[in-house]
Amino acid sequence: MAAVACQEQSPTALDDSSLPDEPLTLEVELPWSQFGSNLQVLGGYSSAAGLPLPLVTRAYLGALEARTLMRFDTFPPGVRVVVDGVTVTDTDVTYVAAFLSVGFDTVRSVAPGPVALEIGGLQEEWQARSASWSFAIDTVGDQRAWSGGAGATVPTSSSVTWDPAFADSVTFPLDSATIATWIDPADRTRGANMLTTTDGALLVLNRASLRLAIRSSLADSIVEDTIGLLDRTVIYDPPPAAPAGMRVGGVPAWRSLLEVIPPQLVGPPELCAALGCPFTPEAGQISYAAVRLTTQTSEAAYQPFDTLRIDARSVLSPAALPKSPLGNSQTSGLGAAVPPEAFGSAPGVSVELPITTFMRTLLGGPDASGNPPPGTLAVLSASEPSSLPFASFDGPGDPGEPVLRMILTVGTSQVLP
Amino acid sequence: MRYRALALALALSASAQPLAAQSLFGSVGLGLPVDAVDGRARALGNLGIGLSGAALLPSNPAAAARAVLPNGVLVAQPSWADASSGGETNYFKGTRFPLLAAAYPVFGGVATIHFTSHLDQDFAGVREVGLTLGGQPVVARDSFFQDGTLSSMNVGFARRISGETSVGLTVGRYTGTVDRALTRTISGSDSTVVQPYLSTGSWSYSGYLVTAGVATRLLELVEVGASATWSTELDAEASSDTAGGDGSYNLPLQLRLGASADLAPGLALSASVARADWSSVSDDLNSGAEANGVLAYGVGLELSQARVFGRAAPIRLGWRRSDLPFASAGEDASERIFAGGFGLVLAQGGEVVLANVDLALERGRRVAGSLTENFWRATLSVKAAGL
Repeated sequence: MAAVACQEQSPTALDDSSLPDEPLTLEVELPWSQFGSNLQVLGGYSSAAGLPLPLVTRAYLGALEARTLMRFDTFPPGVRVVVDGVTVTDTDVTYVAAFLSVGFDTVRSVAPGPVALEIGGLQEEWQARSASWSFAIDTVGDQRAWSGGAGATVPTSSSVTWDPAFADSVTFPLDSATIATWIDPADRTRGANMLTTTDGALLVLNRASLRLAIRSSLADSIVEDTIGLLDRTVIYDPPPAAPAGMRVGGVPAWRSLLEVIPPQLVGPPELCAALGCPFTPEAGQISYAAVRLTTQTSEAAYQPFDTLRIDARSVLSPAALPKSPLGNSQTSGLGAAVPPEAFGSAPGVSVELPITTFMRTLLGGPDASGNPPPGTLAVLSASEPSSLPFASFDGPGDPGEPVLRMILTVGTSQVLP
Repeated sequence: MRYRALALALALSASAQPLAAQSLFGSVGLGLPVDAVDGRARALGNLGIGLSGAALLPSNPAAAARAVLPNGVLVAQPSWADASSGGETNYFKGTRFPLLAAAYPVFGGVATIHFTSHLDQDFAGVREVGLTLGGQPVVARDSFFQDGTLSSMNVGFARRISGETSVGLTVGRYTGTVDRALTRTISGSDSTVVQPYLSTGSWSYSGYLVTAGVATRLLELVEVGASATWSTELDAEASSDTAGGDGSYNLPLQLRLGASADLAPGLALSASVARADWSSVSDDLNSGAEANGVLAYGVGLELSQARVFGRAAPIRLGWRRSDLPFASAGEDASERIFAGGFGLVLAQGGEVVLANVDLALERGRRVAGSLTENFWRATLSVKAAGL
């Protein structure tokens, strides 16, 4: 079989006289009343146990108090020692001392000066995924309040002062009695409650480990070993007030859901002149679509101290809310980055969430199987949970109510030469 | 820049398709006419009519009657062009296979089949448009391409009706498609990701054509040929997802006349002329282009006694001028070509050539208003017989 391969370069017109008529590209902005309805703000997604970085605070911004509960991994069952030149594993060991080492994210943390920190051993069963300020366990059919009082209050086992000017970590010395309560891996009461007693402090933890001093029964030596965390969570108080407007993020996370109506355009004049109005765009005519939100100040205890990333996803089964599965991220998973001051000292910042794919799908009509396109949009944190503070936006009727911004490109159909 | 490959085996089962455009004039009206002739006719500036000897040319169906053995021909045609207007010049190149044909002696004559190209419609274009979005100036880029060709598949029969005279008739069906796509991309000054806008259309061509021809030798000196091609309306049917409607074009009757005479032993002069009135197509065009009557003529000299390595290697020179049927309103478009080339017999049995190649090299210019297009074009045809 013979074959011929050719490299081609198609002729390119020298001017645009032989090209089809120019399409019309224009920008439109629709107020909430012309594209949105039925705003819902739902909370309860995810758990504080999933926070990327736990924290402790006291009277932060005059209100928020948060503590970190930790459960350490299983203690080593023995140590390897050398006896008469032979290495053996000794399981008859004594934990003579322990030190809890905690590191802080000095960039994100807020310390008015030296910060007093305390740690105490928990004395009752608790569950990382459901524990809260008031309850040690809070699941369906099993709700148990902290026996020592709200906030998992327990006697202090160790206290230290962290001076951010000199170090980025602290070490709590622990007595053998406290260690003894954490040895049994089957004991579900194991755990520590770490808190600060310094008003205005907010310390973000970026590491925690337990360093053990272990004495062998076979050799006159002390062996050190380090274990990490098995579980951790953050409990906080007070709980946030009911949302006003739109709320996104926090722990458990909040989501704002809005129904999007296929828009009917009655302007601008050049569009109406070209295609007539009212005009409902087709999917392929949406070059860009975005929901533009306006930030408002979050309630004092929950004002962000770090950049928040806001995402938008389609709600695939609105009837199943609040547990509906969500579609793909409209922002490629990155979210729109919003600086923390936009929810604190400098509200009124416009945040644009691209929803081009969502709008194209919505205007494209039913899929090949006849299923209607998703018409509900969830505005949520790009990752849940991401932080204790949350984002707040103006809702419908507020001065900065949501706006739909679209860039449309419309043109005449391709016709024969 | 596109890369395409063509397997010869596939070409044998499909209509002849240009692999890429060869002229910016393909952007006007129904495109640029393609003459499905071989390397010999190209080198002689000939329009595919009136040459001596057997030939498998759709423009000269009677010439097939002189074949004594089953034979076939494949024509390949690369070209390199530059188009300039207003001080700007664009370069492009392409390769087409305008003719694939076979003949088989049967029933006292010769049956033929041709796959031929008729019109080339490929071209691309770009324009930039300034917009203001979000209060910011942005640039929109419109990229347009048209990928189209009109081809035909023909079957025919040719027969000698006397010692010096033969007639031929082919019947064919037009095939081919034209795809058009306009893409607008917008690059913003901020992080806004704007999706491109795409508008497309696709049409399939259909219609029928009949070509009848006669070839004879007068006074033992002059070879004369004439042919005419009549077409039904050419229909362009839009695909189901094309919003633009169907189209129909009233293709003209094409008349050809050619002759060649021996000036001296081994030296022949040929001339040919063709006429087609495309003006009736004007009303069918959406683009505003004008269609005009077309007159084409060419002359050539063939020195047939030249030899290379003991084998016949005729040398040819030619000149041709053609009107082009489609031009922008108020402009006339034409093409002038100087050509040269040679043939080489690869295998011969007695007086019968079993295999040969013909190569033509043309230097031409197309002009319409301020647009000038210069081009080099090579045509290589390979013929084989007795398979």
